Amino acid sequence: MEAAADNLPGDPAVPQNSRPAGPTDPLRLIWAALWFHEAAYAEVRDSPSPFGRGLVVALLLAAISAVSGALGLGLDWLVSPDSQAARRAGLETMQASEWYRGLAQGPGGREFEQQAQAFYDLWWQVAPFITNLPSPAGLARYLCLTPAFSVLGWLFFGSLTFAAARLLGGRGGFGPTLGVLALAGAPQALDLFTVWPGLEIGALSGWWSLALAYWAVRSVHGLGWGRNLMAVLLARLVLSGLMLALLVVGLALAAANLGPLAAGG
Amino acid sequence: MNDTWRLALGALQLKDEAFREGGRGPAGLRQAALVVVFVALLAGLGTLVTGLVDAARGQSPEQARDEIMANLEQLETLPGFSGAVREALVLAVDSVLRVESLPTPLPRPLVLLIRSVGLWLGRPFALAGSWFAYSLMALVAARLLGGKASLPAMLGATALSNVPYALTLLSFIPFCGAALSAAAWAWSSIIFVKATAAANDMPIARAIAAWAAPAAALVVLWSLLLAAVLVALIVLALAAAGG
Repeated sequence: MEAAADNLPGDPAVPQNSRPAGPTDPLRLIWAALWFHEAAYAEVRDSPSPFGRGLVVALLLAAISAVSGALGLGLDWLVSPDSQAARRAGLETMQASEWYRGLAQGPGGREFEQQAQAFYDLWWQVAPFITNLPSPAGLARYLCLTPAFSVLGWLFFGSLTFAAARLLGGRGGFGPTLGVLALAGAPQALDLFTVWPGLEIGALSGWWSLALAYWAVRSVHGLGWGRNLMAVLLARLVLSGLMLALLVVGLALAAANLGPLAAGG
Repeated sequence: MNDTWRLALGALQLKDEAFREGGRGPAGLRQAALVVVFVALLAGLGTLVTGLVDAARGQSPEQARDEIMANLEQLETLPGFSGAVREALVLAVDSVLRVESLPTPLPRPLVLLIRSVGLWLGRPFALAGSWFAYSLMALVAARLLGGKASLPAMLGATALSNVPYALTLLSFIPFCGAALSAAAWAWSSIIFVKATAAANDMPIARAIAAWAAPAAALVVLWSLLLAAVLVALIVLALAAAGG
């Protein structure tokens, strides 16, 4: 594998076929990768089993997220009201509002009340899975779904990025690509901070991962910066397109269901 | 600690050495990131103190509602603020306040204290998020304009543009908040341009273009998105009227 001919002076090529003395364990590897240490990426890329090294890193990051989420949920419980009491209070407040009373007393009021109750109940069934509400479902989400999605996400994004990089002229193998892309998930370790109630990481983790993914692909495929960027963005664009399509379908279905209700029928 | 302070001061004085040091690979990036953390925590001290005072004096839900409603009355003067929007906001405020007034396992003042500290500790992540996002987009623009910076070099150099936001610590002084924010933004923009020029080894004029490009692109994107939403709403309204 050669460095790209159009690598710029400020973007020096990674030494090839070398295993620099550097981070040796996954935690140190994650820490080094977080700060764009080329040695960390080179070590995974050049190891006899880059996919295996990446898998260990991905599993460790998934475990950090899961444990942080579960602990955070426990501490959130200490500073949050009982969820059933919150559910009742929210419903009572809604039912006491002018807006609700106006619609409930109008034509089709009974149907409106039934629909409103159904939507409210549906929200409270879904909420524990998509919010930080302390609940057994939230705990299950952190301990099972978060690690599963984390590892599957790595495989999905890694495969798509590998395909995109090869299409764009990259020369790296599948194993090394997946291996170094596991390091790009290093900002997931910031989830440790979210144990503190009310502390939000926001978009930092996503942007940082994007930058590291660029750095990771560059270390394996030797593409010029433009193609390298396209390879990294393509996977995310595909996922965004899928999510947008789902959103449009969801909105269309919701509009189809809500249309008769809004029309008073 | 001394190095971090020196780096921050150097950035404020637009010294090339500071940007070179921030952009000298992983070690420089780590140090520059530390500057961002200190600045964000310093700038957030005012909000933290306000939160702690609120926790200590135990503000009642009624008082909180009155304060929010006073702010809502100001919003009502905005064009396009309809009765339906007001009703929805009042319902949301009432729901949140009602839930907030429910008992929690820990005593209320302690809960408020923990949440205030959490918000304060989250500020470095928010500031770092915007720094990362804008720097990455500016790097793409700089590269298109012939820049040569590597990712860590660009991030390390532009991190220092956050230093002026420490000024917002003084936002609690009456009538000074907006002026201080504007001054911090202007100073920060100048440092960002200087850092981009230094990291990319490019003239200032190109660095200004690289700094402005992400904002311009975002404005265009948002306008397109807004136009798409408006068109969709019009189509839906026409379809509903027709059906």
